[in-house]
Amino acid sequence: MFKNKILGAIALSSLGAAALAHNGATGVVMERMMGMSAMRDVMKDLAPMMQGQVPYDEWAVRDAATVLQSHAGDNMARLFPEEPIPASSFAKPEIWSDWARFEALSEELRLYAEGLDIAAVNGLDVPVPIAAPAPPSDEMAGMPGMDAATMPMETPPETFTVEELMGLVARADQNAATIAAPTADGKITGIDFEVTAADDVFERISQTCASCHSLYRKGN
Amino acid sequence: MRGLIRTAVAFGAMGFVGIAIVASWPIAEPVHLGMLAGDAYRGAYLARSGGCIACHTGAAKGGAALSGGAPLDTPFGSFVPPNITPDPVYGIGDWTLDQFAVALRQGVRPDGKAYYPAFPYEFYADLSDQDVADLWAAIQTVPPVPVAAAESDVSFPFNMRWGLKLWRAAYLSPAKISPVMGQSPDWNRGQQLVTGPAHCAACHTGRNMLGGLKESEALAGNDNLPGGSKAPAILAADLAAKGWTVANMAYSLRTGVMPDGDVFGGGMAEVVQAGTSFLDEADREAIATYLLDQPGTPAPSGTPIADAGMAGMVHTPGMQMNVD
Ligand code: HEC
Ligand code: HEC
Ligand code: HEC
Ligand SMILES: [Cu+2]
Repeated sequence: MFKNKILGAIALSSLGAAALAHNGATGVVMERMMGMSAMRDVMKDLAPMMQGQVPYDEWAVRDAATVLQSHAGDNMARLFPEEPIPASSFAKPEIWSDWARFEALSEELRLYAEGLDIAAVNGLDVPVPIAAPAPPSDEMAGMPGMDAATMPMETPPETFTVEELMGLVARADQNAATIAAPTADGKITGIDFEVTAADDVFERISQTCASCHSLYRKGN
Repeated sequence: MRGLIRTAVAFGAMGFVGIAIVASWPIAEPVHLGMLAGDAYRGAYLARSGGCIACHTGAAKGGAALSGGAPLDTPFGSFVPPNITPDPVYGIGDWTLDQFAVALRQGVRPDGKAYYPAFPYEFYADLSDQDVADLWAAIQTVPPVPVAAAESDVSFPFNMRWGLKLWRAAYLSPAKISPVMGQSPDWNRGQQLVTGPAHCAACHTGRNMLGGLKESEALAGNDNLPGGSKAPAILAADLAAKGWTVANMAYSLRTGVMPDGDVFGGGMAEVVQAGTSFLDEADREAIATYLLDQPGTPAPSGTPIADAGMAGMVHTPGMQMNVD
């Protein structure tokens, strides 16, 4: 009896904690927060791996890619039905005035997650643990002979041109859809995931999360 | 709110005489940069670090570079970052370099009126003449856009620019950055970026009723950002408690991925996407080094202790590049 009460109290308080963790959200808002949180958890595990700080594990990457896929695309978009935004939610109303773009970003995430599954076998561009390697351009990653073995740390210098810095042209290391282009159609052109390093794809994924959050999520 | 009302009453009570006096009270200090030649690359890098591109370009709406940005919604009204392309009519094409320097470092318009602090000129106050000339050169590389940006929509009494002179007298806190003895070049570079052009405090420091930065609460967080979002404290102790390290912060300032796997939202996502992700890795590490290595006390860490005759550590304005 007593034991049951304790268990009950523990169950209640952990429920309370779960609800608090999501700001008291319920229903579909709770559901999308759980999906986002599941993605957060895999990103947390992947980030140190992608920086070479912990050993690379292809199968862990592929599992993570599956989790991301399952929460992206339509599976994400359908959890954002147009409705008054409850106080528990950090969603911005622009989601619905800009629906095509929002949907395109969630689809972009799905495509990149699919890409990560394919690219997982390629491992990292920069095998040595360093703080945060410069992102090599896709062309480099795709070029024969330009792999880590022949070019150990020779990632191109991470400098941008004046045109890129001033915002006159999109930066070469990101695809246009991700940098807040007015009409993102979610198509990923010109990336061959079979020859792209996993950390490159991972960075595109984080750019997609960031793009969507900057447009449609209030800071928490 | 009471503060606002009181100020409004105070403004009203001053009457015309007061207004006339304040309105004619000159605030700009003359500068003479003459024809100082600038370096467009350095200027472009500074324009990224300083957020000029982020604020003055309406990227989300596909706007042309520097042709005017998304409105900043504040309790005082909505401020539109104007068109600063070299267009002579709708931009700043007919300005002189000196006028640009006064606008940027002192927050004063060519006609002698003050800018609103929504333009974070306080953080640019310590830029050197060379920095200003570099920015000017970079702006000249942008095509002129002959279209007016939207008007700011500021409510009474804040729409009276002369009132800003009173504001300046009370709250203006122009950045003055001196290297700190005993800290590494990286740390000092970080200090320069964070307290200067990268204007992290513009969001991460609380503001009083009239939008003045609360200097005693530097980087201690701000629950009242435009658009209703919150910027957490980025004091060393808070950051350490959340698992931030120099490496993961440098990574985060490039990719947006935080140590817990979440990805920045709100204003911070834009700061990364349109700002810090363009910086050199060394500069991101410098920012992290500075933020994570602060004296344990809330006392104004990073406050200059130089200028006291320490050889080689005296205050010189301006940004060094971290490249060579
Ligand atoms: C298509 C848009 C979009 C994409 C892509 C996206 N998010 Fe989100 N995310 C949102 C929105 C909108 C919210 C706020 C939801 C709410 O509060 O109702 C959110 C909230 C979150 C939250 C907070 C959940 C909570 O418990 O409050 C986390 C964590 C998160 N996202 C992680 C991620 C990660 C990691 C990625 C990438 C792998 C990602 N998101 C990709 C739109 C997106
Ligand atoms: C946080 C957003 C923000 C950032 C960052 C910012 N500005 Fe501005 N800027 C504004 C706003 C808002 C105004 C209009 C202020 C007013 O009307 O009083 C403005 C005004 C100006 C003006 C005056 C234009 C005119 O027509 O009078 C110039 C010049 C300018 N900014 C240049 C810059 C430069 C250069 C940088 C980077 C070093 C920069 N700004 C960064 C928001 C910003
Ligand atoms: C436009 C406003 C704005 C500016 C400017 C800004 N930040 Fe932020 N920052 C935010 C917001 C909002 C958050 C919360 C984001 C979230 O949780 O999604 C944040 C979060 C952070 C965090 C995470 C803190 C934590 O509790 O985990 C760090 C670190 C940070 N900012 C560093 C910086 C640095 C360094 C700069 C200057 C280069 C800067 N910020 C400039 C708005 C800003
Ligand atoms: Cu939640």
